Amino acid sequence: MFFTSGLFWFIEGILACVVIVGLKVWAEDRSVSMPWWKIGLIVLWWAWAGFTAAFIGTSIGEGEPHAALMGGIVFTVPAIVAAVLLWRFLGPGKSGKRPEPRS
Amino acid sequence: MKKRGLVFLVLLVIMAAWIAGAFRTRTARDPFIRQAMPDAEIFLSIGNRIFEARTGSRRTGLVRIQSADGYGGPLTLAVSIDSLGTIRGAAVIDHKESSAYFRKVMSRNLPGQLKGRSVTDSLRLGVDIQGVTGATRTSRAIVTAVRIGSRAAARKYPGLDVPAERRASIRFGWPETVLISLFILGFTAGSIKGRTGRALRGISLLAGLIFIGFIYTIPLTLSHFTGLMMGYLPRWQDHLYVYILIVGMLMPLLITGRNVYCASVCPFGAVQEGLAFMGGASGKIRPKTRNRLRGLHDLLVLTAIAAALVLRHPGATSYEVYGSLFDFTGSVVQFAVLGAVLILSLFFFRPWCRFLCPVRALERYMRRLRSKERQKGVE
Amino acid sequence: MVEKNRKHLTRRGFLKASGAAGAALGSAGLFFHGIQSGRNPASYTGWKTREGGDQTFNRKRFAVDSPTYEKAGEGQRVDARSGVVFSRLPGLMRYWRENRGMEGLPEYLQLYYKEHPEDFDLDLYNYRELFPKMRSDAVRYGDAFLLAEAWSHAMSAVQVEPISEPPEIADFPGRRRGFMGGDPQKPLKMKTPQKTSRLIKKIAHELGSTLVGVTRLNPDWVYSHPMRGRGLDPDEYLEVPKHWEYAIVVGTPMSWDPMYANPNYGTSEDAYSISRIVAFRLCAFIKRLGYAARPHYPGTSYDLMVPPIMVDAGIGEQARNSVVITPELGMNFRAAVVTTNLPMMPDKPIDFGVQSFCETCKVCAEQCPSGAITMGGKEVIRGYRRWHLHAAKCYNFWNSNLGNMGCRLCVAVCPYTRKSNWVHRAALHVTANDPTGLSHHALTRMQKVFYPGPDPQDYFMPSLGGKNASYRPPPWWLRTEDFIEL
Repeated sequence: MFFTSGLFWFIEGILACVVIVGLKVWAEDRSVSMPWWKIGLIVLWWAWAGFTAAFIGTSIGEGEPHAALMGGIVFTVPAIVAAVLLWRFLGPGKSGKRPEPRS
Repeated sequence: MKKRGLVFLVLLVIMAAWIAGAFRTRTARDPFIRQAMPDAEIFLSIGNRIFEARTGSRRTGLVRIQSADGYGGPLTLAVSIDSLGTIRGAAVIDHKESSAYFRKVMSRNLPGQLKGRSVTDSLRLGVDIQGVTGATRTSRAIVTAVRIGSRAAARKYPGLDVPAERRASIRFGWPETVLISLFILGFTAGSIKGRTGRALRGISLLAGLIFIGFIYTIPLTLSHFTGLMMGYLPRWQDHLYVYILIVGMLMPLLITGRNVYCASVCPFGAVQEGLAFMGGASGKIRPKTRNRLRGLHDLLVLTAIAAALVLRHPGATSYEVYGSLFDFTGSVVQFAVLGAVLILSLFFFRPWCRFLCPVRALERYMRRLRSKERQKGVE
Repeated sequence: MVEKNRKHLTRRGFLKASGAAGAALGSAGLFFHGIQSGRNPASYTGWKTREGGDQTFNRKRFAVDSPTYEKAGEGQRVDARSGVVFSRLPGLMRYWRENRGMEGLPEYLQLYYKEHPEDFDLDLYNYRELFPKMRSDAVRYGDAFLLAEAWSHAMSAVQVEPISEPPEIADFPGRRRGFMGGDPQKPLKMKTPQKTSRLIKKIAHELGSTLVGVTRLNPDWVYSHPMRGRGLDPDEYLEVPKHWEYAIVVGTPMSWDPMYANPNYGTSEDAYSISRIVAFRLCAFIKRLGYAARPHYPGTSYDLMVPPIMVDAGIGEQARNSVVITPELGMNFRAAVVTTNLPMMPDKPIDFGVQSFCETCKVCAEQCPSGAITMGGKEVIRGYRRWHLHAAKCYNFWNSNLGNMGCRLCVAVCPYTRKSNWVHRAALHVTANDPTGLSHHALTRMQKVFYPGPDPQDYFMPSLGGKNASYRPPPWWLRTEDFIEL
């Protein structure tokens, strides 16, 4: 099976490098600083989102569509919330500075 | 003028639903009385909710209809005893528990455990009767009804030595204390202007989230109000918490116009405000859209209340999604709605409260009853 | 000439676009990896290889000196004639006569029913009411299960020769068997117990066993009555034969997809048939080395209780429903035991968090249609502290549902009983390595939300108010309606 083979993971590794390079370039163009810890947070978020995608797929493949649906909701919602928060605090602001939270 | 008319119309609908619910065919009790005492030939009513079981001309026992407070409302059953005070059987006539919990208790045959016991036994959960794990309130309701009912029937046999019903002590522990403290804290926070007031409200909300939300998981829901409307008043000694919830929300609202529960206690409100704080919540809704959404909101809540009244089942239409967040239980739809609300909370301030919460809709209605000027509320 | 409307694709732009495309492709890849992972035949643990490639859990890390059940007093051997429902019920049926009542029953049955009066009602109800009801329901509603029954029947088509002689004769090599015969082998001198253990385990895998474990036999696990080959109801207290020193546990899982479609599409026969063949093969091998060996195998050909032996041998831990949970297969493992005097080094029992998990979980107890599994705490039974299983209630349910004989729902709903893919492997390792028990609560919640089952009432047959429900739908190859005109 292709997607469970070593070749697949090899390709995923290449894609990961491409993503990181693209991210770096994008951050430089938008004048957003990308210190190691920001990258770390993004990687963590990526691990969670990737886990969610893989969990949904595995549940479907296993023949447990209910688990795919529920797991999809339960894992995707925090991923979206975290993505929004990461964008707010780590991403570019309107004037290039970190936005103030509304009280 | 139109607003007044609408207010009156809503009242009319609720009253109609209430009347419809009262007239729905009540569950016939006879099959259950027979189930409680299968070997009797006939049953004669000899008083208020008590029947004599007869075989031929001989009285073989007594059957009593007894209610007790269950989780979702009163649970009514028929319990039978013989002349020696031995419990011969019990059959549940009506209940307001959720079907899953009730089936769990019946599949473990809790009523069967009580057969053969004597009215002089303790007949208490955890003492001589084993309850069903995960359905304690339902188990307790059944055991309480059997205990009180069987003893009430036994008092008709002058020779029997029936123990007096122990006066239930008032249950007042940490949950009740915490809840009262939060209401006081919230009320105080609302009275202080500026940063201190806001900080106090934040602390109150955080505490509400932890205690009312995650630890106790008993927030204010629609079923509390519909239960009241149906006259289901649980014994205050056992259910002080629920009364504090309802009174704590209604009293400040009706007297001072402030909804302390929503502003400073509600755990789900706390979650939404936390997300709004982190996400910015700068989304604005146009007045026309907002009013339409509010109209839908009111319609949703009115339908839920009316349906509950017709079914005489407070919990049946309690559509809140809190259980999915604080207890990780619920249907797919509830989880999905919860997820959507959480994400929206990042962009819009308290979306559940403003457009879905039944308590907030009730609050708006009550404000309309008072006067038009006080419609600003917490928003 | 550069058109003003067209965007220039710079090198940086290309890199950014590639990054975005890479992210999208990568995520899609993970999703499809998931799908193929879930469907992967390699995840159907137990049917892969004779290389021992299914016994993959590193038991060394979880080895403990004493098993996770507690001894709480004097151990007592069980009288299987009355204590095991599969023997008790035929006994009741043979001796029960309305006019003679209890007095007409043999003493061991009278004693049992005096101590367990509820079981008398249950047993009588089972064979007088449930069994005929099930037969008539099967005629009216059982068409859907025809294929499943044919498959199960096929699995039990290969039987083994029952033991008809006492242990002193049957267990020892001495019989010429076909053209492989010759002079009975005198016991070969084995080099070291460690080497022998290693050899026996590899041989057991080669002979078809998925998991193997070795232990010294605790005499408390041997039935006090009866013993195969000694006649049916001897009255003397049966001593444990001296040559029953060690016990080797072998076995296989049931086929996964039908197992999830219990209680009606699944069967025990697929695992049973292989387990008993493996046990017989292993006995032949050991006898060929010159040592004594006796197989104890499913369906009912035992002289001892298998689950505690599995726990002693480090195969797994005993759970709330008295079935043993193994790390690789969950509860989906049907075992056989070979008792022998071949000197081996015993394995150590393991502790991988099952006692704590079962304390919280209770999914099997909630889903059990007969209410046989307790929701409460452990009790002392015959000198050992464990959760009590009400076997009579369980057995009554076997005659209250259609399709293949039995139920096996507790096996199917157990969170440990999952195919081997990364999701479930991760969950297993988290719970096994978590001393706090927090993950046990969290994973139990997730189990209930992600993998719910039908209402337990629905599993019953129609005449008892059920809907012939199964925990999950049957696999395509057991859908009778797709292949046979009904």
